[in-house]
Amino acid sequence: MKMDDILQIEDLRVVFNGNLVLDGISLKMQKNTFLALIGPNGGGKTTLLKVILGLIRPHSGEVRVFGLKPCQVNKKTPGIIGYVSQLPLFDHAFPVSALDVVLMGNYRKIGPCRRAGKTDRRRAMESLELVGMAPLAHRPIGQMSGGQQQRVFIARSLITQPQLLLLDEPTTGVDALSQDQFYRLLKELQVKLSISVILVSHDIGLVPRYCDQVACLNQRLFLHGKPSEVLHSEAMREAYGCEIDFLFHGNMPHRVVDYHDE
Amino acid sequence: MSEIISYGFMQRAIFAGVMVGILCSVLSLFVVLKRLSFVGAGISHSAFGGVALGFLLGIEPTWTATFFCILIALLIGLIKKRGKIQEDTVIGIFFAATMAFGILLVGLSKRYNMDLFGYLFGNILAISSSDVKMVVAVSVIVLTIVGLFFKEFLFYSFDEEMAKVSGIPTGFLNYLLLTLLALVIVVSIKVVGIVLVSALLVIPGATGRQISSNYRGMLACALLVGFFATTGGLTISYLFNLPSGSTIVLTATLLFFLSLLKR
Repeated sequence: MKMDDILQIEDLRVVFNGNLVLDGISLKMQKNTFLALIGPNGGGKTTLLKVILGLIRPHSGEVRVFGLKPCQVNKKTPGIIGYVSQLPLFDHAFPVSALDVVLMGNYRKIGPCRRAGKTDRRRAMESLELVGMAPLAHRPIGQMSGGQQQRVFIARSLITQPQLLLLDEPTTGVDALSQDQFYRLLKELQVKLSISVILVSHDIGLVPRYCDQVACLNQRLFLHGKPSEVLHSEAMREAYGCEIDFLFHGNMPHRVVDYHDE
Repeated sequence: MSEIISYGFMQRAIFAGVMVGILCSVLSLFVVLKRLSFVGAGISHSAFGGVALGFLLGIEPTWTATFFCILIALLIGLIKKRGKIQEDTVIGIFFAATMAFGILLVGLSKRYNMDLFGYLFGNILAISSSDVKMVVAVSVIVLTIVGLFFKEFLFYSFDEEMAKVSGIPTGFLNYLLLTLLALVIVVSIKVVGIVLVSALLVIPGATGRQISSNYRGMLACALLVGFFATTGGLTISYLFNLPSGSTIVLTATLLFFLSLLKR
């Protein structure tokens, strides 16, 4: 394994309740890459993220994250992976401020029996500044818009200074304009902090603009290359199992218009 | 009023009542945030099976109830973890099964025991000095553990998956919280009773949540509700010769309705 490979997956297979969810996945990811993982719903995108996070054990195959097995990553290098889940706010009136939420990301590092101190608070504010949410630090999380909440959750994942950031459809419930700003922010953060990002999305229109590589997942991983190569390819059609039409905006596809019947 | 505290039983009742109020309020924070109110009801009703077993075997019912509550609490956690059955379904089964088991044992013991009524609805006159010792022991255990792991419990309640990803031992916290609930329920039984204790595990937290949009304020408010509900409830119970479990829970409920006036 090369030093620059932060993620290495070899012939990964995941079986869930007798269903084959991921089959023969091989993927390599180098440092400082922005990878978009797209594909239809139920295609196994979230499952793949959870395998990388060590939440789901693979049926067979090899997975190495920073050269370690996923379940060991947290023990040996806590906080090296940041994660923003699909619907992070389950309870819209949970009584915590944005700052409290960001601090939670550091709880593991602070350790039990100790309270968050001044340094932790300063770190949390710095994270909030990175995503432009510092002015709203003391606002209850439930009183923020979807887009603002997502930024706070990104700030939480950044407080441990991760080298790899995983985001699972982070723009669910965020309006179109904010989505575009959100992706731009992600790209800025990726470059500024020189981290790697895996962004799961089914937004094939906007996402490829900001990423270095696109992989298409529908049980099998179909492609892994530069955005312009992927979107016009046969492989894309194969992954979705149908034709895809694009509305072109500039020279990048903007939005999926329709799916054909079989 | 001063005569109230001159009786030994009343001193014990007030002390145990206040401690139970505080313990329930602290846990009610997580019960409300993690939506465990039905879990609380499930564990408390399982105490009936334990109490009845104690009566039948001639063992101190508090001990058998402790054993029973912890057993059921851990079983709820275990079956939930296996993931095939929802938590509320598991509780729905244990809730009735342990009551049925208790009633079966009461039937077997061939004597209708009036003490049983005290366990179901609370009887402050029955609080012995050994009960007070148990309240003290449980208070030390519960308050220490919650103090040590407060922020971990908070993260666990906010987003269990994310807490797990960031390296917080959520499985352990889950069983720990269930065990703490079982312990607090057992020591609360003589003050408010098996049937009513689950209210004390919900109302203070729910009231705090109405009043404050931050968990610190919510906890402070829950503690005040727990304190005033138990002291107020016991005073009313004494002055008007009313059942204490009912006066405590109704005082708490009144405070909850007052909090609804906010906004």
